[in-house]
Amino acid sequence: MKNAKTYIKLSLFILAIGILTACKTFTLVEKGQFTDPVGMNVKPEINWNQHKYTNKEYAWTIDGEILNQVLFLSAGENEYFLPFKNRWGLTDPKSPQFNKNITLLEIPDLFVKGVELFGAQLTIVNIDPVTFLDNDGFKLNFEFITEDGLEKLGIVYGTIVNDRLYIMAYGGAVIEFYGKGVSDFIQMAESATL
Amino acid sequence: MITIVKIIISLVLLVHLSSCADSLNKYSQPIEKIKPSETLDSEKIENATNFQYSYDDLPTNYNPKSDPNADVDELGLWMQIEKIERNTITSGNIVKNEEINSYIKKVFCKVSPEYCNEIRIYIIHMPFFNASMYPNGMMHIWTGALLRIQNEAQLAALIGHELSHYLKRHSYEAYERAIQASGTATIAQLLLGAAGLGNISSLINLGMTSNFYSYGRNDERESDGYGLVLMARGGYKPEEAANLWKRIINTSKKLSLLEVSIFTNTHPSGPEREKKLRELSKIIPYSDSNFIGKKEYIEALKPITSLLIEDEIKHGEFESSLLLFDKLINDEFYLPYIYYARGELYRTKKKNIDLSKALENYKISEKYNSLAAKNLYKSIALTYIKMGNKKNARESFNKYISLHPDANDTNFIKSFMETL
Repeated sequence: MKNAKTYIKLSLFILAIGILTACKTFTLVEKGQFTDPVGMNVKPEINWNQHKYTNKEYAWTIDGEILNQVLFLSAGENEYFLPFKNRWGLTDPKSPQFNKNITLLEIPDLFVKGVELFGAQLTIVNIDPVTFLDNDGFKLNFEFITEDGLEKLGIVYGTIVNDRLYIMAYGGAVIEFYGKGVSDFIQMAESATL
Repeated sequence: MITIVKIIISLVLLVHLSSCADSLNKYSQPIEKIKPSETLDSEKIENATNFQYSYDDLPTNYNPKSDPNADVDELGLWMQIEKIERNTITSGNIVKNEEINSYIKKVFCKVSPEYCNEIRIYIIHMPFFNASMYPNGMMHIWTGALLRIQNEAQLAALIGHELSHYLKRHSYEAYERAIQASGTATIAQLLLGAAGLGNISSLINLGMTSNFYSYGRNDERESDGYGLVLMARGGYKPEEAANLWKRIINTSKKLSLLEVSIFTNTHPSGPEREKKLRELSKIIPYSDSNFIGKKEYIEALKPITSLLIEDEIKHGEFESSLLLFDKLINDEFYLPYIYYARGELYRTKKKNIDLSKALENYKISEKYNSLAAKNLYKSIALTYIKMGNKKNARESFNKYISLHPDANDTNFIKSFMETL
């Protein structure tokens, strides 16, 4: 009888965990405080809402992820970055995957292909060399229209450090919402450290 | 007590399984087309003297929206479909190039002058062979279809086939069936997916939406017949309809299981269908129409050829893309770009990349026309880097920069070269 009760409790516990993990929760990232999503140390100057997808994927937003969003991504050998999930929650194997043979020069194209898996047609405006996380990196500016017709702009910073890829990306709706977070994103990207 | 636990677990499993079964039932709605009695094996090619599809059977002023007897369900359907059309127009997934859009419109108007101003055609960025007709007169043609079609007559065959679905009310009936099989809350979402506008880049999602919205085998047969009449009446060689299906069969041999499922659900045919079209094309009225228009088609596609091929590469299906590119090489279709694209396939494939083959294809592309593919020398340089040949990589990067000094990544490449 005692064993059976334990089984029931265990079943209910597993069920509860299943339900809870399915809910999307946000926590406040306070301005002026250092924080280190996916290992990148940044200090925001405005408040952001944070959602942690996995240890290697964090998203921040001010008005909601559709309107403006910062992505912090990291990937090691043979790991996906920007994974596109199908309706069953499985990662689409066409999602961009990092390995140590990939050069920094190839990362922007892989990022673009990854974003396009989500249904957008993306146009690269320019790609410039920058120092990011105290290493040689790139800054990619792009524009795109989402599948539902929303015009967006975006910036991506990326670098490879010790065979690990680090990306900070920001995107937002052209009207109103891109402007709300872009300066803080750029200051964070330009001052980020590992 | 353990029994109670087992019952709880069984119930949970049962709920999950039944919800899965519901989903499957919902998506596998067009059961009629796989009835054994209707398999093509048992079909007889119609007697040559008994051609049953007449142009006179088709309405010349069909306008389903103006039906005064439309009921509430039908009015609701129009609202949903018009929403899909609005989303089509504003989505980032349509090809807006004016030249190719006006060319396709011109071909449509040859096939059907009566509906030239009624039907709206949109080219959708999707690297699979497909086209679809909506009950409100909106037609979608996917970029993957344009890349597989070989000439203007085959495009006319596709358009004639889709238009016949509309004029014979198959599109409307398919939607009606879809509504009956599903709640209206989900239909808009699914139809958006079928329109190529939902979040359907995942093949699995695409397969589901294609399953949801497809015609029965009789509808396909009827549209083949009337489509043939329409294209031939427009002056196009009817045999090209059969050649189009032959092309589809030949380029789909290496499709993944899921793609085959999408393909067969929207175009349930095989060699027999090709054979039947070939037979019919000899006996239909206007069978002496003979315009093929291969040069015209290739010329018209030029402004978007690189876009079509890039979509195919992004598609990420190595085997099926390689097969398609081989066919396009046989057709001598835009050779410099096709060889470049083959190089890209070998260089960027996820497993077992083949740098020698990549380089071999890039070199052939260079030989044909070194300016055809903008990124040719960048790709060659990246291949040399992976081969450990930094000297050749630098040379190729320099060629890229000298050819495209104002490219959006020139500074990035210059900076990268300093690290070599």
